[in-house]
Amino acid sequence: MTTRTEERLADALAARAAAVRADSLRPLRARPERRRARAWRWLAPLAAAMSVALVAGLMAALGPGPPSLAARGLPRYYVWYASSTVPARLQVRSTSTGAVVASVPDPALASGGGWEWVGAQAGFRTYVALAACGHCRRSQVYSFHLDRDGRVTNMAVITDRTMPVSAVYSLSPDGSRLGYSMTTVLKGRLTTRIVIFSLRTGRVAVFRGGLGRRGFVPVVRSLSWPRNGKYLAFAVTLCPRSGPPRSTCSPWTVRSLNPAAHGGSLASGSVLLTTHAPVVINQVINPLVINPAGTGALRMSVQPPRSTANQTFRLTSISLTTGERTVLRTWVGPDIEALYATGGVVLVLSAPGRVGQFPSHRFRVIGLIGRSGKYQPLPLDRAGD
Amino acid sequence: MGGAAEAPVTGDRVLAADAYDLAGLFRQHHADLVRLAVLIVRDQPTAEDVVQDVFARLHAKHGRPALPGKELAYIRACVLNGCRSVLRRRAVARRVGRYRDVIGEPVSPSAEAETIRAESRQQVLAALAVLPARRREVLVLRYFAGLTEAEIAATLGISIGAVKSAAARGIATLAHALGEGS
Repeated sequence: MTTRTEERLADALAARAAAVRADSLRPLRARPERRRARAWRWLAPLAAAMSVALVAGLMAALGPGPPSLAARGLPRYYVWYASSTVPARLQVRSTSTGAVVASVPDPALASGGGWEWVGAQAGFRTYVALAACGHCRRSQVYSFHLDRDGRVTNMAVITDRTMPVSAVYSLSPDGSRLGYSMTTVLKGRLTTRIVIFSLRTGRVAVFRGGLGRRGFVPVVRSLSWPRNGKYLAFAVTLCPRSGPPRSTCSPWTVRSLNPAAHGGSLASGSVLLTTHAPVVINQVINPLVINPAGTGALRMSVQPPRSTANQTFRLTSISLTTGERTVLRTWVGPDIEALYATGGVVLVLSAPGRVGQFPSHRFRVIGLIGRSGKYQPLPLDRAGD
Repeated sequence: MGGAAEAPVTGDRVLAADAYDLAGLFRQHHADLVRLAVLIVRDQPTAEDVVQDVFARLHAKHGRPALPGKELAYIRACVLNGCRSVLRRRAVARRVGRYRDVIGEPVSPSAEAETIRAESRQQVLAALAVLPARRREVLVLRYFAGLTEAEIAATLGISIGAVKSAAARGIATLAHALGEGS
């Protein structure tokens, strides 16, 4: 007789294994033979250094380029993950060159803890980051500041409260509140809740329930704040409680929550936007966020759905008042694009991967959308990865 | 010469020279073996490396595995050995603080967990991940690969009684961790 545990185990193993697609595996490579180091090996870095010096000289000789991002009111630096380090490390990058200018010190956690999440306050000078240790299941919330040259200062633990690790976080633009959503299994039922935690007073407001229908479960994505911090927005879709893993869910609805409330139902705020197309869950990570001005939503969609060869991502701006849609940019290729609202801007992220699967590498920042609502590509210097 | 050696080539081309049908085994079982390795080492790139190493070594040996007709079982055992080596290296790295195990790659700043249904599966996989290696291997071979107790015993080189014991204890631990214990 098969027990419930055995059924769940078989289901979990099959689901995890199904994520490994035969057509995504690397072809077999012949092992390269190890070659002895050559005596002239030092020539390569010398040539590279001379090339860099030559390019720098040419750029200086040809005069100044277009105005820097900082001159256009965009942040000079931003903090993001190093692309491939485990545990995750944070780096400070220049928005104008994409180069790494500093590293954020590792958190003081035992057992090899790393950074799980980072969010910026408006201006991208003050940050809040969550450090966690996978084995000891502890977490700490840090705050740090960047000086004018992008160096990290005033790093400190700002709360003793243990925060959940597998949650979706969003920092309010003034840095005073941390919103997070998480789904847990309580008494055999999936329960979604959004928590707004005041970093200044320690007050916790829990929003739970109110959106489900019989046989359906709400799936929450894309927490975001408008620049004025008046509400916390989230995207929600209703998915069948049972059925195939990629069954179709209801169209996305963007709703708001009042951060000053003491908690309540997930439906306690207002509906900001409702889309029309049904959703295949997990096709796009963070599909809908509020734009920095709070006047519209930014949507990342993929066309055609679940194509693996040439997945086309489209970034669209949708007005909250008129519903008018403007396509800001499209990407065609093998990379997954995603949105992340932080510090009063929306970062556009990219990682190698396929639609419907979580990428195996960390996202990189490839652009941002500020108050103007225009897409601004950001350079990326891979040297510091 | 070196450049040619580093260029990616298909499994067929690499394995074509083998006396027995290693290329056929690769074609037929590569994905399943990677899936098996993923369930043990818990990340796909490492799993692919393990399986590739096994096939590359077999090819380099130019020889048939010791038990004719049981090539797949032999390769499966090699993959599990490779996974054990990875886990041993990780354990050492963890002791010196250079490795933190991740259950489900933390991929985005938003740290999205998985789909809503996967939350429940994640709990199961997380509970599986903390089991002793032998129990984990037995459970994966039984509930994913669908092997019989005798086949698992042959693959792992242990007795059928040890397989039964590891499976029962593993399931009991999982049930307790998932709150399903009686």
